[in-house]
Amino acid sequence: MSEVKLKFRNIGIFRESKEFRLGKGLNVIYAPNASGKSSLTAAIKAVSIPVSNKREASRILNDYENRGLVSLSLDNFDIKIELIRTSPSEVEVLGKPLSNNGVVRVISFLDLENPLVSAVYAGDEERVKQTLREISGLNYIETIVSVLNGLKAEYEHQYEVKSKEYEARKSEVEKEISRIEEELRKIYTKINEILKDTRIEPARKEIERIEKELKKLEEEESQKRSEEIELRNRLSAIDIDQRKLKAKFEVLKEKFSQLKAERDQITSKINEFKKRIEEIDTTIKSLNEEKNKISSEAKELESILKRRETVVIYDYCPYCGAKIDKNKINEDINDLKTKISVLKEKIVSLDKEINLLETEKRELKREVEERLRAIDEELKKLEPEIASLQKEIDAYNKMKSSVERKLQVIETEIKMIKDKIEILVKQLESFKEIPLVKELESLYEERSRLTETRDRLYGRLKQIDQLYGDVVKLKEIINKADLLLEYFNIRLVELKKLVVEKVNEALLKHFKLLDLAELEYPVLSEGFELRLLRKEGVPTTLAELSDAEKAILTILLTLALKEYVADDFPFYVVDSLIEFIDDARAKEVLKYLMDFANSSNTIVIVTKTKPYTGEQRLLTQEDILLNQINI
Amino acid sequence: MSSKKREVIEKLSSKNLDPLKLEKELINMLRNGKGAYEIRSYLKHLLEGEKT
Repeated sequence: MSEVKLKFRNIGIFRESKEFRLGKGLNVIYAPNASGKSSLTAAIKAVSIPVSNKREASRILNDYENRGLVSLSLDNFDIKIELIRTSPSEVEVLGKPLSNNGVVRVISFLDLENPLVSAVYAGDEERVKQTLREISGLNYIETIVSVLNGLKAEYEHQYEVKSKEYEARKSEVEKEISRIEEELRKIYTKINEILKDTRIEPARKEIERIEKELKKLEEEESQKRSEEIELRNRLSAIDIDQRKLKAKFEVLKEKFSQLKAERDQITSKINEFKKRIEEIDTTIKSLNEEKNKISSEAKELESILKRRETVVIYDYCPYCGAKIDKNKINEDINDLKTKISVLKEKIVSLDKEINLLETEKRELKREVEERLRAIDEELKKLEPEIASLQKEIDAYNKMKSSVERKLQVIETEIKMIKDKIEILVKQLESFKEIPLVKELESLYEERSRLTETRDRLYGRLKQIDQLYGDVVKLKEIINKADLLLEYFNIRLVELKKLVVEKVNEALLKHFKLLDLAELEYPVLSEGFELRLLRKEGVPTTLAELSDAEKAILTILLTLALKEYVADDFPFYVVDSLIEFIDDARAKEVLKYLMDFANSSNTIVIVTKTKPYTGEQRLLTQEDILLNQINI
Repeated sequence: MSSKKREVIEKLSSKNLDPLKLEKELINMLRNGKGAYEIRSYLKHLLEGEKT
């Protein structure tokens, strides 16, 4: 990085285009008060980091202007931002700044708006600690830990509710199953008793055969029913997944058609937009011509005025020797002044009109071009997503049909088994004159009914077991949250201790500045508390430091932290702070900053006020002194 | 890096979670003005497996 070009228009106190060059090393902007030193650093700040809000942006743009521009050329790239007034107190910033690192504002721009600077100057150690914790990320890790704790508690609650629900439903079905099994046991006992009874002797062989076949068929029926339940469960799971996919598909399709409709609408109006832009261009052109005409008229009148003002002091005209009629010339002068002021007002109003039209044109272009680009990008993303969802839905349809076919087969098989059972039970009717056969028949019917109910309950149990999947998933989420909490708690400890150590090491590197602030090393203790000791080891507080010591301490802390959190950011700006330091120490600090700038390849910018000389002027390139500290 | 931290990172990696990347992302979100609400929904998606 050898040279930086900074161009801007309508920034701070500057109302026209300005260009400054900054060099590698220490750039001291040495100029009188109100010459625009802070405006220049504000321009660098605006193009380097995101402006936090519209009000802050409003402070950067010149109060009388509606649009401003800042462009920065570093070695291989250019960055440009535009400021547009949207209301008297609000300004919008367009364009991407150099860095998106949120801490750069505090670390690399030491001005009176900097929260660390204001905390140090207020002597507020707690605020300094909080700012340092934010810069290091400690506050953020604490936020993450607190969010994770909240989430974990929420999942634990869900886990408790779901597992209780699961247990309750499971136990209810299990109770019902055991009740039915008890009844079935009683029926089996009764059937066995009947089968042993001598009264069935004439038909024993036949009854035993029927019982044997019935048992076999009932077992087969149970087996088929279990398969049927499994298929039904699978079918309902497919239905749920498919419904979710279909809903997503519909949402995407709706979004797709809305975007297409919007695109068609914009495209159909594109000619109208183009026509309006052309109209605006023509109007701007004619307004500019009018402005130029009025400007030259005003210039001409100004030159006449100048001539009148030159001759009014003489009794005789220095050009033609004629006697001067002072009253008439004074009248002329007043008349000319009024005319010029009317023309200037016209120019201002024309400027305003041109600005408004340019804003309208820019908005129109943005509305059409940017929106069309955004729609096209979104449509491009949506298309494959919709196609892949359609494929998934089709696959689910195939799966569903196959399961439905299997289910039909099983249902037919079950019906066949039931028919066979019915035939077998009916065969008993031929022995109805034999005692106990009637009872046996009704026992068989009851057994068949109870077996079916029991099988259905087993199926229900399987469905409930699927609920257990949710409980297991929650358990896994809680486990992940636990591990993340453990990780972030370890990071908290590290940040509290290790980062402080690193910053203190960096502080030690800037020992010379510590010396100038008449402080001992280290100045940060665990948890980012400031530990201030005078050279003789006497404890002191931030509030007790002089303004110069506070300025040196702020520079010291930010330099140390810059190395830790924003090492690659090319600027380090100290605006106004150097004024608080006495000349002897200021010179030392500047020398230190110059060495730092040259060794770290950073562009250091320091503003310093030149003593008042009676001249009221704006900053020029000559006011920027590169690597000079003898001022 | 402490052995405890390494162990936790390994356990999280086996669950398809990269805590170092996650930390960077979350801190960037917070530094760029996002609040606890956004962090919560980001972590919720991550824990529920909608993001890795």
